[in-house]
Amino acid sequence: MAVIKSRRAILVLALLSLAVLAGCGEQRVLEKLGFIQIVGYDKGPNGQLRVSFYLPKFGPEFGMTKGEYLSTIARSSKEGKTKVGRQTNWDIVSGQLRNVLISDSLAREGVWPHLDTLFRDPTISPRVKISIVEGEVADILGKNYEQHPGVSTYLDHLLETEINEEAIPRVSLFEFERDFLDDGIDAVMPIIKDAGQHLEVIGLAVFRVDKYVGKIDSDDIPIFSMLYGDNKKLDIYQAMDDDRQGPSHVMLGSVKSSRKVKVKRLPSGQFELELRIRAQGLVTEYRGDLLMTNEDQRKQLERAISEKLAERAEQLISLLQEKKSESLGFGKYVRNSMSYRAWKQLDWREEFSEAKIDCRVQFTIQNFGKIR
Amino acid sequence: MNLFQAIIRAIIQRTGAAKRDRADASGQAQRLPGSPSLRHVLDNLKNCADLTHRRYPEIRVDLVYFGHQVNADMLYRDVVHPLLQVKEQEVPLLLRQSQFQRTDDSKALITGILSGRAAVFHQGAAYLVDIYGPLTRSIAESETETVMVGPHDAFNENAEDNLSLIRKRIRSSHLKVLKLSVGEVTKTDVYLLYIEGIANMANVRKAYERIEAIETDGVYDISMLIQLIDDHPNSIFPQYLTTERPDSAVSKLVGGRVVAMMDGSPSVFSAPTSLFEFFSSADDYYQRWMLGTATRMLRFIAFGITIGFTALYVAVSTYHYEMIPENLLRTFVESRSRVPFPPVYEALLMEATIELLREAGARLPTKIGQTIGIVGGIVIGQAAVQAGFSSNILIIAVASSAIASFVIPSYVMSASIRLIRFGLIALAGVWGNFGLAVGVTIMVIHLSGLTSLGSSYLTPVAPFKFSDWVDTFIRGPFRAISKRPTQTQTPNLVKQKMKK
Amino acid sequence: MREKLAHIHVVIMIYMVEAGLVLFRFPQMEAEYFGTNGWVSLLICFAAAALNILLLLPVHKMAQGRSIFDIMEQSVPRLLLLPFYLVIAAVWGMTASLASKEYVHILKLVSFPTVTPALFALAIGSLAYYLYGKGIYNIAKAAMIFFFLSAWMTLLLGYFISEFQFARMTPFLFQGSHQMFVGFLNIFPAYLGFELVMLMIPYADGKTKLVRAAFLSTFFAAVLYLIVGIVCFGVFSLQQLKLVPFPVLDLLADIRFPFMERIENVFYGFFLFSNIVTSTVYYWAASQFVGRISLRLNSKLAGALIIAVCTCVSLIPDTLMETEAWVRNVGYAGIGVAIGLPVVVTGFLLLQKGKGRYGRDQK
Repeated sequence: MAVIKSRRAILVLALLSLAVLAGCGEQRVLEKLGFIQIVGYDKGPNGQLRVSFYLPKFGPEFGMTKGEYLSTIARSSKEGKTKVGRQTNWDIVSGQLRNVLISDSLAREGVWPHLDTLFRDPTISPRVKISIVEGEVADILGKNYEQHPGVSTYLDHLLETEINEEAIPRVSLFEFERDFLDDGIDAVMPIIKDAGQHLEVIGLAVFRVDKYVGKIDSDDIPIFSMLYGDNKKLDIYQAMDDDRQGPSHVMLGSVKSSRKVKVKRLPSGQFELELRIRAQGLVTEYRGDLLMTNEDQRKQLERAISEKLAERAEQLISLLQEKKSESLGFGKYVRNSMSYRAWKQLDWREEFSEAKIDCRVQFTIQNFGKIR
Repeated sequence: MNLFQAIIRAIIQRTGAAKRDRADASGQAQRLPGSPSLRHVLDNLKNCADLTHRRYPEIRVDLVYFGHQVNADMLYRDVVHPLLQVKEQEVPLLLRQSQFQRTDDSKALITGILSGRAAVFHQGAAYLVDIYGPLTRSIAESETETVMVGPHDAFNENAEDNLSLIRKRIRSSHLKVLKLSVGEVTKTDVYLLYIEGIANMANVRKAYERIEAIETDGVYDISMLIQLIDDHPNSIFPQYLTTERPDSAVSKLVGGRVVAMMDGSPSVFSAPTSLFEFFSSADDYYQRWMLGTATRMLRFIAFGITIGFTALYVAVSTYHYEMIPENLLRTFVESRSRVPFPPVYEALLMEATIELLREAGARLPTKIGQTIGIVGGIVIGQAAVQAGFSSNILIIAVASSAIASFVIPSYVMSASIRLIRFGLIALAGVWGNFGLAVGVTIMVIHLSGLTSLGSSYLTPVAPFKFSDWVDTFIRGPFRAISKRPTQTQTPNLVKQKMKK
Repeated sequence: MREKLAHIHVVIMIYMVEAGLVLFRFPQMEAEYFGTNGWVSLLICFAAAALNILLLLPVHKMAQGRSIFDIMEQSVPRLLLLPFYLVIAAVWGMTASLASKEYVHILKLVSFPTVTPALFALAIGSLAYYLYGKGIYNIAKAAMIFFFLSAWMTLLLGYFISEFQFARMTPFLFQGSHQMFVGFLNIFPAYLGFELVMLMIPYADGKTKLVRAAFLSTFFAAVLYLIVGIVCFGVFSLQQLKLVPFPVLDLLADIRFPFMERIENVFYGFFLFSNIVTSTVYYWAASQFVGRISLRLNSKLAGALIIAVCTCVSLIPDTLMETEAWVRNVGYAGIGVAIGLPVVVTGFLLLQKGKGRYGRDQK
């Protein structure tokens, strides 16, 4: 009995002493930390980066100041963080990072080298959103938007709201890493711009590999989304041909769409892609002649809408083809349609730019509201 | 000393001696060689001012009893009145009636008198009459185990009353009662109950042997008795379930468990017990089964909250700030920013304060106790936050833990769990979430080794008995509960098949 | 239950032993070694494991309740077997301690970058000793509880259904692979654990059906691995999967609840449960061998010895990469034992059968 007791005592002692020895492990006590919520990269002098950080401030003593903006010139992201740490009394940590912003000029040169630490650091969440800024990031981070909460909250909510409304696709580190590394698709990112009193999402950036090569206007993003995949609630403004009364347009809401891709390879080696998009939605606004209660007229409207949408889609695809940016992900289907070796030998971006892409949209009006 | 005082003293001494002689004379007249003597009894019980000695010199009968231990009515009716009716030669005849039990052993005689019997001495023989009628509390509602719907009577400190409450609920000749005595000095009566044919006799035997083997001067309550007979006295977890409710006790008996009660204690315990029994209350069975199930699940969630919530707070605010979602971040940091201590100390301080309040509230008389509760809860909490000793979120965490601990029906279990909470907080403060996991691991490992009267404490999860799950985490409809719990290893598994 | 191990207990216990840390690593290994649709390699490994389990069948049948030590020592004097025992004890003991060490390294990566791993490793070693001291029945009981505490985490994978795209998985099989055999050897140890049932023979009875339990638990582990593998291959792109050493951690990091996010911090901590079971059962098995080496050692001392020694040895590799290299090597050895031990014991059994019921002791 005594032997067992002493054994247990030893065990307890061992555990206790471990606890003491560990000291307090490695503490990162909450109130001593400065949380980076936004990190931004601009081109800096001499081929270096201008790395900017936004840290929110908490506590009544800070009054109306919402956050701290720190910026430095460095050769890399983490070097910037170390440098900036010397300027502030907080212990700077990256674990609460929410957004990454890259200026368009920097993005044109390629983003991958700068993002390495974001993927490598285990404290950084893969859900961090990444966006392009038209202009300088430092200008945005240092600015105080009077009508809005602090920049970080404002930006994050802005992006989240747009994503929830399916106005832009969700682009986080996870998605970017996945699409960037996948040889069948290129990545995209939303573009933000400082519009004086507020920030605005002005479009979608398309990439070739990791270089920013083209921009899709925010008006056309829903078309892009339809081509990109299945959607649940797009809002699309479609201008129609003039009718007897003048310009006509229709506003479609809550559009559900699904796409099907068929790949064919012509004997010439050229690819032919057949896109079938099925969409249905509500008409929330209509300026035009046709009467939707009349079945023929409604079908006519549907056909017109479908044609217009298909037109825009093809325009968009031409733009992408021109930029050789395969952001729509057709490459995955092409890859799956041929043998692995053949795919490896293919330069898909080249082929894509020369492919014949036929897009057909079939739009159905689900309902048109309270009036005809 | 002068002559006058000497004479007075001599007179006093002589009259005292005369009295003693007379007493001796009557006593000597009764004493016969080898039989229990009145004098022996009175000697043993001398300096007991509460002993009553009545003499009836006409019929040469002496009556010895403790006035407060006997029922006055029964004393008059069964003893005094008959004695007053008879003449001396009829006394032996009277004494042959069944209520008069002849006792030749003086030790048993004394024990009998101490147990509330009256001793009748006549012509060298002694008889005991059982007229036990002590002062008892009336049957009232239990303060610690109340239900909304269901019987409100509870056990009291008198074993007779308690046995009555159980017998009237189980009208079966199979309900057996074994009697034991514990405590060298207190000689407290312990009754072991079981239903023959349903209970496993090995369990009965084990319980009996363990209670018999207790060697101590006095046992004052059944919870003390439990600690003297359980398998693992060093564990925080109670291994036998105690209850003050007769309906619970009866359900345990019918399930095949052994129930024991002790004179002087208003609780009974049942064995063998599993950890999950401490999470069930009589209420569960008196409500509809879906409600019972929801309540049970709530209790298990409350268990998780009460041991883990504060520890999680400590872990997150010390090591894992990444876990805080954005919308909570501001509240969290602002509330922590004024506190000068690291989260561990803050949490331990607050928890200790709550424990102090709880203990203080338990000791104070009710009138003051209520005020302290309000003062402590609201004012101290608020003041602590405003003074910067604590953060809002921690107060919420600590308060939720405290409230959640009251959700567990068994008071003893919730008291044990409080200790675990402190351990987890300390571990979380040292090692964050890993510390939390280590704490839970230690607890699980400890629980795996516990047994209750030989059977596993964690049944029906480990060993895995799925048929019992219908009454553990959920409270299934009664049609589904057709078997007795397997832990009792009853020979009679299916309910409602009991032969009379 | 106190007398003999129940069937379901063995199933759950072995399942917990098998479903270990490899869960976090293997999608990357599958991608790297096997290329597209690398998760199919799991099926191949499972087939191999099933065959290995079949090897256990003759042992169980012919042993008739005797422990494998009695069987072996009947044919060969104990002294000759000592080096053999030592090797197996070492392999299994190191499997246990390296599993813990690897857990600690990944924990370091996730939550505690600057803490020395030695402290955590010692803590886990102490916990393993604590559990070990309770005996195999209680280890099985603890495994049950741990199972219920951690199994529900699998359901979290449902969060990723919306991200899943079949197209990402490609129709190709094993394209972009290299060194597939090495990959097989590295993934197969994920299924190791079933061989330990051989040591449970003296604690089991007819109802325990040890071999069937081993098969069922391996099957469930395979199902778990398969689900995780398929989800990973459908949610990550192939190149991405090759790049990320712990894809499951990334997946967990992606899940977001309104009141909590980055839950991999909490869940990885709870993975300790599975790790403790793995370590303790392997230590238990190793200590059985150590106990036979010197009959003077009682079981508690044998356990303490093997746990202490192996934990200390596991402290030698300092970094995650070194530890993983050690894990790989010990894994190869473990495969050897898993195949070799039943074969050897079967050999002895056949020998004894040939000589008559009880071999040399036959009167």
